[in-house]
Amino acid sequence: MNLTTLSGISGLFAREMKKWFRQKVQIVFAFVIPLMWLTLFGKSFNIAYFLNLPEGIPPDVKAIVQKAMEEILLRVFGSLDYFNFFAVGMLSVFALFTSMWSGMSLVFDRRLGYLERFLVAPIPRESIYLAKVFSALAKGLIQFTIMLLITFALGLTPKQGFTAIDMMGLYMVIAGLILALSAIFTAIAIRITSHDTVISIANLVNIPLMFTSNAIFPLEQMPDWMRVIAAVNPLTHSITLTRYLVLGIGSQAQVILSTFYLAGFTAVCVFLGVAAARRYL
Amino acid sequence: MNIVETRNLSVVYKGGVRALDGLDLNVREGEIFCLVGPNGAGKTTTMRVLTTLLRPTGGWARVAGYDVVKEAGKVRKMIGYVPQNLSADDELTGMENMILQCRLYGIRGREARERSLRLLELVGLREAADRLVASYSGGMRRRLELAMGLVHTPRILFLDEPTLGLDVHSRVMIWEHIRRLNHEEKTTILFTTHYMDEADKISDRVAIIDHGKIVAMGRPEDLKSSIGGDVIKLKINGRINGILSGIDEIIKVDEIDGEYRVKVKNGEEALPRILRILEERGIKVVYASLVKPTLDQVFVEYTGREYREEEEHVDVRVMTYVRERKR
Repeated sequence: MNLTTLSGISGLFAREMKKWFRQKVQIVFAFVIPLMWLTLFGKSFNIAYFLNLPEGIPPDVKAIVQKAMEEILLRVFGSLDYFNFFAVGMLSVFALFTSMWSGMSLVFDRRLGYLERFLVAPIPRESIYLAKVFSALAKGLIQFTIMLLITFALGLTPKQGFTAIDMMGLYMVIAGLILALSAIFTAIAIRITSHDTVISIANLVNIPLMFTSNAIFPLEQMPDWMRVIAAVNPLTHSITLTRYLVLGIGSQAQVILSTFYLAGFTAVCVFLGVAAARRYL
Repeated sequence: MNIVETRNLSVVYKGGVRALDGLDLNVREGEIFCLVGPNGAGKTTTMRVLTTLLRPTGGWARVAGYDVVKEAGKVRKMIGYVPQNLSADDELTGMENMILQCRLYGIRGREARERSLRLLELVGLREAADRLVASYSGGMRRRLELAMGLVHTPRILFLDEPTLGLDVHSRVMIWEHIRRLNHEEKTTILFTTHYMDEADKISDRVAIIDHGKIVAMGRPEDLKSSIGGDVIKLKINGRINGILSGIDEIIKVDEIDGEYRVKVKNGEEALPRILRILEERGIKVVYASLVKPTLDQVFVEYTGREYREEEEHVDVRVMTYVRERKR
């Protein structure tokens, strides 16, 4: 990579960020859907309510049943508060919600004629693509930071002994996920000329990817066929890792598997995206 | 030396449309060269091939000595391009667009700022430098595009319809800048237009393009004198059928779209004689006009078709495009 390439990428990156910061309304609106999920869904599904046993049960029996139910909850959700389980899972889903639109700006650049000017410049084709992906990553991480603060404000309680290292790990996992997803969605947009297609793709993928991961319900109780899908869904691995880091849920073996899967997945996505940009942009 | 050279250049789009059909072109270093022709003749396609945006399906093209396909990266360093569709980002200011353009060519920091300011000054946009491009008029946008095409002092500047949709004043301004650039910096200019008079006035040499082929190429004066003599356009009730054979000045008589074109050596003297003969024969003359040779006639001569600029059609397209961008 020579100086012109770097200067080109940084120039295009700065352009994306400037344009983004100028769209203040859109930035604020981007938080509406995630906030609805967290408050309307996350807060309406209160499992502690199910633990309130009916009147008239003898105190000793009540204590045993109560204990048993808590054990079940801990086994299924790793926490007595479903909101903890849900909110950490949704942080990865929100990363999907923002990344799936990352191809849009490329499509508009093509339609409005901006892309032509970049293509005439003596920069490698992939630098145009990488600038898009990196800016999607930067935007995604800024949005993630705000969402994280909101989840804490809404009552997310991290594990005992949650450290700065866990926090760094959390950022690395989310960064990997955003990078992988933006790399895919931007690469798809290389040959797309209509923004309607981008909208269709985004609408098509968000529900299946969310529900075939462990974002809302744990994997263990899914039917086998769905677990197969969940096992290759990058969201599953990002969520497994973030739950381990924030809530202390999950086994070491799972964590190692998910770390390798997510790292490999991200590397493959970026590699394929760069190859596609070189060839088709 | 030829800075642009093409041989048998062909582009066939998917679906079989033949946009370029064996185009041979040569542009000399330092000249202002114009590619002129009707809409759909292949002007923009030629520009896109020469600027490496489109791969030809046949033949070859070299720009500044490099092959546009095999050495695209080297070509890109040598050229500046001002596309037909506006390409400055209207959500950024003029200055921000200039800085971005500098960065795309590896120019950074203070040098980028200084160059941008100097070029904005040159095209008269210094005052508007920090305004969003969305607030610029059509003429200002064109001038910004021009300045952007110059940040890396290219050896050759490609301008695709640089005056499309501009008013007369803006048009004059654009040409002033381009002439000065050519004169002072010795930058070769290759531009397209569908205005024949613009091609005639501005360029050192002209190539007339039609259906993806060059039909005539040379200095405007030479092209005009090559078709020889003046033309008298006549519309009459009746037919000429050899009536005029007695007049020596007449070189040839053609009928195009129900109108006679009489090519003559000395139009001023031939016209009254022709009118007199027609009158004597009782043929009513609807109108008669004497036309000194223009590139329009060169086009007619080489293609056998009337030249129409179809300006309205083009302007409507540009207007909807601008409206779409403003949202």
